[in-house]
Amino acid sequence: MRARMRRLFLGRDAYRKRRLGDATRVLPVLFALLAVLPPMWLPQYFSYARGAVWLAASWALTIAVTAALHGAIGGGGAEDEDDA
Amino acid sequence: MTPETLGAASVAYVALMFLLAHAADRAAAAGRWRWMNRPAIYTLSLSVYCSAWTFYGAVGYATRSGLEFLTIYLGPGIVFAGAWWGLRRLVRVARLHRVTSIADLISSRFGKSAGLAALVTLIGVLASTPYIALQLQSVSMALSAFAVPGHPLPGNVALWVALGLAAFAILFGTRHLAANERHHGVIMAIAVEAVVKLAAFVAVGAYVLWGIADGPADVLARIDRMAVSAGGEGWLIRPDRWFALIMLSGAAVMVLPRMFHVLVVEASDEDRLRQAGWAFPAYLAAMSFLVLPIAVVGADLLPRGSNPDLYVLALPLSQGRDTLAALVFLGGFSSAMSMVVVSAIALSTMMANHWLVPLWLWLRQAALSEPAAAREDLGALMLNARRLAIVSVIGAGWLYHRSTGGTTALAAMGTVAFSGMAQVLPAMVAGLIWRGATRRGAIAGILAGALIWGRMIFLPSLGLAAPPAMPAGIDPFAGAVLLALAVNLLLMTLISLMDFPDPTERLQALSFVHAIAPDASASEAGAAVQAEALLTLAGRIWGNEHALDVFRRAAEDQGKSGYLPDLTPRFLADYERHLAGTVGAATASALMTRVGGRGGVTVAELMEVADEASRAREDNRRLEQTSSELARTAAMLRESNEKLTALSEQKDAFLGQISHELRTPMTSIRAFSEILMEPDLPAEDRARFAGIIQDEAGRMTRLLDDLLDISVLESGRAQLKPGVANLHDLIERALAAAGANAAGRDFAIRRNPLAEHLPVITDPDRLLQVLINVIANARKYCDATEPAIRIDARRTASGGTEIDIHDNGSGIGPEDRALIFEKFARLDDPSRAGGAGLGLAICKEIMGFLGGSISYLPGQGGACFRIALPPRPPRRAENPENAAG
Repeated sequence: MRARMRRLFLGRDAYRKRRLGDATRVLPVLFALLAVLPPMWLPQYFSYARGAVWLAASWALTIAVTAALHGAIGGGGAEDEDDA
Repeated sequence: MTPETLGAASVAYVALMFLLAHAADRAAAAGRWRWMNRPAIYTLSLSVYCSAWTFYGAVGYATRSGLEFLTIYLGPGIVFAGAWWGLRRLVRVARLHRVTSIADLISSRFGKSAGLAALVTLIGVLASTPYIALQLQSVSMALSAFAVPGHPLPGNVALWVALGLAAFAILFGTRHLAANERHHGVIMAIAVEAVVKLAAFVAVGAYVLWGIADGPADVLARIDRMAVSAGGEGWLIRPDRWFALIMLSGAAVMVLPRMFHVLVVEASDEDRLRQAGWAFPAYLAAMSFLVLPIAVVGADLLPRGSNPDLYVLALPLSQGRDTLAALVFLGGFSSAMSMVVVSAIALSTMMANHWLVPLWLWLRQAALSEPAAAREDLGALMLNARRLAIVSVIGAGWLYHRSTGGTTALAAMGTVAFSGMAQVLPAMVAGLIWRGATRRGAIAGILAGALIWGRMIFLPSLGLAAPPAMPAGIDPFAGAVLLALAVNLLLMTLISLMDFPDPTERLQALSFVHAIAPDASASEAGAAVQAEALLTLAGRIWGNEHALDVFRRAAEDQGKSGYLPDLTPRFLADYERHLAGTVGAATASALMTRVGGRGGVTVAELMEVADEASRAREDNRRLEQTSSELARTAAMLRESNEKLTALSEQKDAFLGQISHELRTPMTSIRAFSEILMEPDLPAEDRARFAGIIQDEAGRMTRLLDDLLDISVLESGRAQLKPGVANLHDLIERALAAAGANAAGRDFAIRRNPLAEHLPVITDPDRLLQVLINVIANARKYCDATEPAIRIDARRTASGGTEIDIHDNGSGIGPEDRALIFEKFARLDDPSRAGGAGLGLAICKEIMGFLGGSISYLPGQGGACFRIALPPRPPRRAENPENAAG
C-alpha cells in the first residue's frame, strides 16, 4: 500500500495552496449556478441580447478567476510538504 | 472558387497534416518530443471537441434556437472551471492504471470486467456513428455551397472523405502498439488544426461583426429584434432543454471516446490541467460567442430558405469574399478531420481491446506462453484488429449518413451522440468518488440508460421508431435524457447498495477512489508462473525489443543482472498494468490468469491486506526507502554468491580438467611416437600415426591458444585494430568457418541479407572470432530434429549494431544461464563440446574489449545470443596498465 497520510497541520505556503485548491472546487459550482439558474427562472428575460451579455460576462469572469487561481497554485505537486 | 479547387486544396491540406504528423512521430521516436509535450499542445488538442458541428452546426443551431446553442459549450466551461480537482483526479487515476479508453476505465474500476468494457464500447460505437456521419455530411454540404447552380457535386464526396480520413487514422493511429496509448503525430496534427479552425472562425466572425454589421452593439440590437421577428419564437429558452443540454455537454467533454482520449489518455502528466483549465474554456468561448453575429446577420441578410448550417460559408460568399470562404471551408474541413481521426483511433482501440482480442483469446485456448508460439506476433494481430475497427467505425458513419439522406440538422445528430455516451457518466463519477459502487450496479445502470436512449433517442433519429410521447409541456429530447439518466443513476445506486462485490473489485475501488497506486501484495504468483513465460507473452505483444527492455529494467531495479526479474508481487502488478496499457485491464488480467496460472484474490486475503496495510502504512513509508535499498543489495549479493559458489566448484574441477585436457593428447602423442620408433613399421601405418600425433598436437595448441587469448584479453594487453567492415561479409565468413568445423548435420540458415548490409566500425577480426564461436556453438548444441539458425542484424536507435543469433533447440536452462559466460564453464558432457569451455568466455571478453556486450536472451523459444556493438570502439589508453578492465 503506497498511500500516505496527509499531514494534519501545514506551514503558511502549503496552507495557502490548499485553500486555493478549495476555491477551485467552489468555482464550477458558482459558474454552474450563474449559467443554469437565471435562464431557467426567467427565460423571457435571458433569451436574447441580455442573456448573451450575462453569459459572456459570467463566463469571462470564471475563466479569469480560474487562470488566476491556477497560476497561484503553481507547479510542482509537493502540496503535502511542510515548509514551516 | 470551384468545388474542384477546394477538393484539391483539402487533399493538399491532408497531405500537409500527413507530413506534419510523420515528422512529429519521427521526432518522438528519436526522443525529441520534449517540445511537443507542452501544455499548450495539450490544450489545443482538446479543441477536437469543436468538430464540424461547432463550425457549421452551431450557427444553424443558433439561428433556429437562439442561445440554446451555447449550452454545448457552457457544460465543458463548468467542468473545466473545476479542472484542478475533478479532471485532475480523473487523469491521475487513469494514469495510475494506464487506462487506454473510457471503456477501459469503467471496466478497470469495476473489477476489470470484460463484459462491462464490451458494453461501454458498444455504446461508444453506437453513439459515435451519428457523430461521424455529421462530419462527413458537413464536408459534402460545405462543398455544395460552392457548387455552381446546374452543376451538382458528384454524389460520393462523403465516401471519399471517409476513405481519406480512414487512411489517415490507420497510418498514424495504428503505427505500432505502444505500451501507452499515445500518438504524438496525431496530437501534433490536431493541435495545428485547432489553430487553423480558430483562425478561420475568428476571421469570418470578425468580418461579419465589423465588416458587415456595425460591431457588438449592432449585433446585440439584431438579437433583440429576433424576439419580435418571424422565426424568433424558437429563441425563447426552454428550461428543461437548457438544463439537460448543459448537463449532457458537461458529460460529453469527459466521456466521449475522443475527448477521453485527448483529455486523459494522451495527458503525460496532470499538471498541464492548470493551463488547460482556463485556456480551453477561453478557446471555446471565443469560438462560441462568434457564432452569434454570424447567425443573426445571416438570418437578416441571406434569403429565406437558405440552410442556416451553411451561413458561415454563405455570408462571405454572398459578399464576394471568396478567399475568406475558402479559408472557412478549410477550417471546417480541419474540424471534421480531427474529430473523425481521433474518434476512429479511440474507438478502434476500444473495439480491438474489448471485442476482438477477448474473442480471439476465447477462440484460442492454447497456452499463450509456449515457446513454440513465440514467433506468433500478437502485436500485429492487435494492430490489424484496430485497422479493421477504424474502417468499420468510419464505414458505419458513412452508412448512417447515407441512410438519413444527409438532410438532418447537424446539431440534432450531435445531441444524439452526447446523450448516448452520457449514460456512462454516472458509473464513471460514482466509480471515482464512491467505494460502494459495484460492477453489477454499473452494468444495470448503464444497460437501462442505454436501452432507454436507444428506444427514445437513437432509433427515432434513424427514423426506425416513433419519437417518444411525453406529457405536454415537456420537450421529448430533454425528457428522454433526464429519464434515461435518472433510471441509470437510480438502478446503479440501488443495486450497488444491495451488492457484495468480489475482492478484485474492492481492491480496484479502493485504488480508484483514493487515487493510490493499485495494491501489489494481494495477488500472489501461482507456482506455475515463470518469468520467461511472461517475457514471451510480452514479446509477442510489444515486440521483443520493448519487452526485453522492460524486463531488463525490472531486473535492474531488483539488483539483478540479465533479463529475468524475480516474480515479486510488485513486479507482477506492474507487469499487469503495463500490459493493461496496451490491451486494457480486463484483457491483461485474463492474460495473466491464463499465462501465469494466477488465482483470484479471496476475501480473507483481502481483509488481511487491508488490516496489515492500515497498521503498517506509517511504518512502511519510513521503511520503504531503506528496505528497497536493502532488498536490492541482498539480491545483488545473492546473485554474486551463487555465482561465486558455482565458480569455485568449477575452478576446482577445472584444474583437474585442464590437466586432463592436456594429458589426453600428451598420452597419445607419447604412445604413438614410441610406436613410430619401431624400425619395421609399414609406411602407411607410420603416416597414420604421424597424422594422429599432428592432430593431437593441434588440439593442444588450440587449447593453449585459447588460454593465452583469454589471459591477454583479461589483462587488457590486447591490441585493438579498428577498421570498417560490412557485417554481411563478416557473417558470411563466420558461417563458412563455423560450418567447416561442424559435423555433417544439415542446418537451415535463416538470414535477412538486406538488413545485414551494415557498415560496422570495430576490430573485424575480433568480431569475426565472436561470430564464429557463437555460430559454432549453435551448431554444436542445437538439439532440434530440424535444426535451424536465424541471424538478425539491426541498427539501434543509438547508432550501435545488434546481431541476434538464434537456434530452435531447447535453449539453455535458467540455472545455467548465469554461468555460460564464465571461464571453464561447460554445461553438459565434455565430449560434445570438444573444447575446454572457453569459447563464450572469450566472446564475452572480446565484446567487452570492443566496448559492446554479448548476452543470452531468454524466452525466445531456443537459445538466442545477442551481440551488441557500440557505434565505434572505445578509445584505449596508450598505457596498457590503464586499459585493463
